[in-house]
Amino acid sequence: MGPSVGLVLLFYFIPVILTFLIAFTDMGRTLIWRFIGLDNFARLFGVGSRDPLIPRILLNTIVYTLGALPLTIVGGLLIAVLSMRMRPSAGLFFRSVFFIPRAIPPVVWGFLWAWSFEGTRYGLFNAILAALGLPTVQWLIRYPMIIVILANGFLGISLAMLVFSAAIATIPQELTRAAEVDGASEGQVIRYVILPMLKWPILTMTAWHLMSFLNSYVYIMLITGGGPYYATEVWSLYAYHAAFTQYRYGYGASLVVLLVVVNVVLFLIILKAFGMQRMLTRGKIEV
Amino acid sequence: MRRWFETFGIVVLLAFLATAQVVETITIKASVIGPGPMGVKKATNLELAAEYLNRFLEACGANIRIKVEVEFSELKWEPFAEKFYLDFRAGKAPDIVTLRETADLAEGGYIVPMTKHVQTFWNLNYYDFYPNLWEGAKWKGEIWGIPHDICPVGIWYRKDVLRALGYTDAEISQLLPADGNTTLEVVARLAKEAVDAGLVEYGILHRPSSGPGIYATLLAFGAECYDPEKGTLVLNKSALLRFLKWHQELVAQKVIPPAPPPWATIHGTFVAGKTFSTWANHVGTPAEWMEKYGLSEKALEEDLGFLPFPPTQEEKAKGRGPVSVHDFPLYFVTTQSKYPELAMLLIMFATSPEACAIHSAFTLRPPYRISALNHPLIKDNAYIQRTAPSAATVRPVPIHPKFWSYQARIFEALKGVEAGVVTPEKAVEDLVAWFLVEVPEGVVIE
Amino acid sequence: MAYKRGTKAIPYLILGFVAAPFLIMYVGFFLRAFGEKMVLGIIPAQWGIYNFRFLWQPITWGLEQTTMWTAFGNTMFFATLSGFIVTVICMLAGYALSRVEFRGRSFFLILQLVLHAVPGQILLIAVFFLLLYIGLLHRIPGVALARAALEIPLGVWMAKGFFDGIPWDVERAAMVDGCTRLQVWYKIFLPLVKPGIAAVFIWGFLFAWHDFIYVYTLLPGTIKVMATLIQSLLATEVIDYGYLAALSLIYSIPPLSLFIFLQRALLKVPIFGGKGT
Repeated sequence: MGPSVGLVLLFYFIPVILTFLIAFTDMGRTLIWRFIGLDNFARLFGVGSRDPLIPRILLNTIVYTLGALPLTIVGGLLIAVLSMRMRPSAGLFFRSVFFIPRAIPPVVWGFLWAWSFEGTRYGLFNAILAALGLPTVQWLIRYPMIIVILANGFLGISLAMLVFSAAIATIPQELTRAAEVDGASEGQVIRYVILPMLKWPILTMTAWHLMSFLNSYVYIMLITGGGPYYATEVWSLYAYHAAFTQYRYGYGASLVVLLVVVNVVLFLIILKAFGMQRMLTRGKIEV
Repeated sequence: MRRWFETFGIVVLLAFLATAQVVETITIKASVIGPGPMGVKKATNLELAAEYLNRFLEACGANIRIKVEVEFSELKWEPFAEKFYLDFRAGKAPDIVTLRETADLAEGGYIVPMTKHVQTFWNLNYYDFYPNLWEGAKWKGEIWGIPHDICPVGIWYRKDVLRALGYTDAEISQLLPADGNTTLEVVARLAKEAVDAGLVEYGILHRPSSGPGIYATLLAFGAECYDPEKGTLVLNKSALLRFLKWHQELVAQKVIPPAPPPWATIHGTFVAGKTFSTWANHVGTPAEWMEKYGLSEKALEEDLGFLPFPPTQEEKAKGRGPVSVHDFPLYFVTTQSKYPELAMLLIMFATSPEACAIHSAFTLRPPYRISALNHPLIKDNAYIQRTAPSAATVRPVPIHPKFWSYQARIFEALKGVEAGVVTPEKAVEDLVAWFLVEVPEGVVIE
Repeated sequence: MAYKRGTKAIPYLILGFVAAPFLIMYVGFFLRAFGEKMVLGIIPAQWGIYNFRFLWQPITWGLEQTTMWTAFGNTMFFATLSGFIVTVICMLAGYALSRVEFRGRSFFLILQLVLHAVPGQILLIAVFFLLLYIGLLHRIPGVALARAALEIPLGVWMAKGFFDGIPWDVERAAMVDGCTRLQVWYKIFLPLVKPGIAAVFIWGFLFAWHDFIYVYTLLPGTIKVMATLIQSLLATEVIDYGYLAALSLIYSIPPLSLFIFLQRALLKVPIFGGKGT
């Protein structure tokens, strides 16, 4: 127990504290600690001097999260429900196809998207368009946000789909059989028998992925780099860029502190809304 | 004669330093960045300097000798700088380092000022450095380092493409003279002709990242970014707008691609003749092209032309001349050096006319001191002699801690405009908003 | 689980439609890796392994050079070390948890959610400084340690599950025979929980193998692992997608095969955790 707690302390709790400390400095690449009070936060909140990009970043973050979250839940449900209503081998095939994003390394997944949607005729989809005699499209310039939402959403789907499938598998067959015997259509079986049984997994997956998308930036970094012209620069990516490409560690840390605070507040709201006790007793979601 | 008195002065100084009776060897550590293999003479020149310095020491009977340990790095700037800062934190910084971020280093107490050293030995060594270079070494009234490399950026273009368009060599040298006495509009027009005729894939390629070539283009549009008198950054709204609109127009005409291709594509397509003009390179790039991309001596001589960035027609009418920019590293002496005076002397010997000529001959970059041009090593090198005058017209990259983040923003705006995701007007508006926050002491010109 | 056979084509149509672009991407990826001289940009005119030439040739881009095997070796070292740290720590902690009265489930569920709410990737700035101060920045062991810490909460939970499955009686019998607790652990439990050890190790190994952002940020550009190598080729080199696809394929083989072989063991864990997308 000791080393485990030690390591978690070392790499979670100390970093949280360090992040808070650095957020109050103007730490740059010279790595000198100089405390500047609330200056970084003043800039974030637009008191006195204002970072003009913040509104844009905030909007991007909201659009991205609100785009990827429903996609993950609805997509995951769709794939889970439909694949469980198929011949098992076909269902397994489709689930495998949608699980691949999680089985391959992030860089490869990022490469697949960056390559598929490359703007020149070397990109996969443009090559297909060109082969069909159609004009090519500058995908990453025209639809950057849609592409990063899809790339991240389908990564979320790979997890959500598995969880939902596992939950569906626990529904007694008698229930669905009975409904079908009573003359319920496929759609009615799904709507009135299966979906109500998935309430809990849907709630947990929503909470889980809400936090995932708020904090995720790696795939965006790999696919668009936040561009073009800040079109896909989300909060966590902006923090990363501030720290590791502009070497403004202090400012980057202050962005992270805000994100951590938002996360913790969301976390408490979720606990409250779901009910702590219910979460503990009913959180038996195993795949 | 006066110089020899001063040399004698050093010798006395060194003899004074060396109080020990036995010969003592002092190790001077240096960390030198290429970046890339072409800069290796910057490192070996320090070793050469140690030889000369030791000969002097011996001649005057001093009891110390210098041993130089040079670590030459082919890393890129960022990781190299990061390593330096980490070493410094750990107390392991070398005596001599070559870096670019003079202001950061000076403000952070990483390097020692060299004003006194340069003044003392001005007539001995520093008298014939191109005067414009010192502007790039000064911050807050002090000289912080010694220039030892220049590579003026400029426009490279393909003469063979122009010949295929029907221009004669005489016409070409009149349209795009090597001294840059023309206008940007002429370059753009020729690029468009080449693209329209289907001779090239790309008309003009600029850098895929912010850098001196972008800054030079800004200057050609009259978009001054720095006021060296006051040491503040400047934002010229109308000039920036013209700069962005001009690029937007060229993208619409398919002369510039909507997204800048990566370096290897720029180098490869230009050497292969599929790009008419590259604005991403400098006078020394052919050395790299020959080594990596198979450029022949003959093609360089006959088919490639180079000129500094000519001003736009409008700016030329206002009296602006051709402009080139260089972003050179300096030899710095770190504050962790135990023997800063010796380190400075070593640097002085490493920037002698001979050392300068060695570096120049190896890299094909113009020498940074005028007298080196007559050095036997490069006296007969036609290429260096031909491009050397560009050294006198270069402007140094401003020493301001926020200059590069300012440039990065401008470049992001340029990419956004070229990609068509932001209008030039909006981009300038965003830039001004950023500028007012980040550089409150800066000057905004309407 | 066939609720109804064949007759209903709608689920197939819908899923087929959704899956189609992905299938095109995956198939295109394979064609690109093994194809030479593409016709119409996507269909290979000739099959071959030219794109895999990095297996026997150095990789150069810009001014940099490395070999695939260096990067592969670094990745292997990094992932193995990280997996090893995860295994040792999780096994010890899992045993302790399993043998003491502890409301583990609730504690770990909350802990996992908390850690998910503040994932390692956004604490990178602080981890950077932490490693800097303890002198492990820019070194593979240091980054492996930091990376291992991310998998420990879930790994401990997995290990506890495996220990839970072992009856108390075995231990008690051994104790009576005069073994010390450590001997018990080593002689009795270790053989019994070998599958568990394998699963936890693979867990730690896989996520370290997949990692991009930690190695990209905390290792210097000179130490390349597969992830950062592919990324820098993608960012700077002439667009040769066949080469990149082939390299990506090699990089993906270990995790893909592990996933296929160990699908059941790996997925038999509480879902909380997983990659912190």
